[in-house]
Amino acid sequence: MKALILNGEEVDGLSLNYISENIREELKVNDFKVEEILLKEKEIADCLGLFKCWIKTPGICIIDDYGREAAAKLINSELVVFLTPVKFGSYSYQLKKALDRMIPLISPYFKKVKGEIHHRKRYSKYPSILAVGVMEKINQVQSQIFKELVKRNSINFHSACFEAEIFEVADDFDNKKLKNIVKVISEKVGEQND
Amino acid sequence: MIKFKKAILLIGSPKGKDSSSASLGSYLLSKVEEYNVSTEKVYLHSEINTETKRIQFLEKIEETDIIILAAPLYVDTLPAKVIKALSIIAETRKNKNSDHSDIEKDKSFAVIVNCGFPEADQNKTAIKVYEQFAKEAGFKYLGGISIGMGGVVSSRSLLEMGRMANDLIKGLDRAADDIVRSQRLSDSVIEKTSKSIIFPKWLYTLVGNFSWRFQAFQNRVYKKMNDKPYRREKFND
Repeated sequence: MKALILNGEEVDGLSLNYISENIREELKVNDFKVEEILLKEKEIADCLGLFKCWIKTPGICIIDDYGREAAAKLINSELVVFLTPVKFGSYSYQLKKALDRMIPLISPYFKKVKGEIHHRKRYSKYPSILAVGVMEKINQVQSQIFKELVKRNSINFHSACFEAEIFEVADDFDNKKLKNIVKVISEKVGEQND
Repeated sequence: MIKFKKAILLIGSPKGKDSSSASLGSYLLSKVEEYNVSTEKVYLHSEINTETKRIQFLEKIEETDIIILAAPLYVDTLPAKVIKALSIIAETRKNKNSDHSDIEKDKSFAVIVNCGFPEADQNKTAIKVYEQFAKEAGFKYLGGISIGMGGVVSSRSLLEMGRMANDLIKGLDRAADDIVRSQRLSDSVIEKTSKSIIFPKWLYTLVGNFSWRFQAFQNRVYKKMNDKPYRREKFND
């Protein structure tokens, strides 16, 4: 199984390397081949919002930069990890600029899902999502919003499973909790792929 | 009687003037202007690209009394560039008040979020994110206007949309009054602006699906609409 970590560490922001190392380690224990993209080091332009990836070059963003490669890697992974500082309950700029460029992976056509309208699948399978949010100090309201957002993303990205958790950056970082959530999502993904 | 002097509209769509966000925000701003408030529009995607522009942008924020942000919903939340702009604002204001004691809530913040889905309710997570931003930046949060079927508005003026924009216009008119008075947006604003622009909902999706096909046909890629360019063997067929 393949896992892709989208590391949304901000330029001049808090280093997420320690957390990412732990995620990588635990994923490998759970039989994943892991690749990580440190997004701030890649040239990924902001989405232009023109929907050309649907009606001009179907399935491919018109911007020819690393955003295309990131999308190709994501759709061919069984698990994608969103690793991000939490901004107002949402994702960092670095992570979000990559996610905004994933729109070509779905179809423009509408479809009803549990009473709501969403976009249809373009591919037969989509990765499950593990979202790891990092805060200097836990804010319960923003934690809740973050989890709600990941749930919404799992609907729109047709993910079979998702898990989301917030971690506080501290000297006594809760490594056990992090490894446990990686194990939980790994097992779910494993069941999906049996 | 009215204490506000200046309102700024931040447009968070990369499409700039040709966006639903610009149409919706501009209408609301024009209504705010009727209360003798001076107004200005800022297109976020072009205003924070250089250090000089960022400084000017932050000065504009500090000089204003009312901040209205109009933005689309991207992947269930804020477009990346909007997150960047709001992070810059919040960080700057926190640093100015480094003792974190009393960021004066001298500025009001209201937001309009529009999405291409028919259900305005799909914006609710984003609205919560904006409220958290307002809190961190020390702005008085007036509320969020949630609009579905944003694609119908596109870059059109609401006044040219005829009857289908009636509720939207009534809601935004009332919103302007609330905003100028620095009051929380009334229930009637939320109710009217979140109504379906096209009814029934299936008609919107039918027209929407037809529109995608038509545009693809015009671009001579109709047969490629379901292509899977990144498909690899074994995993994704």
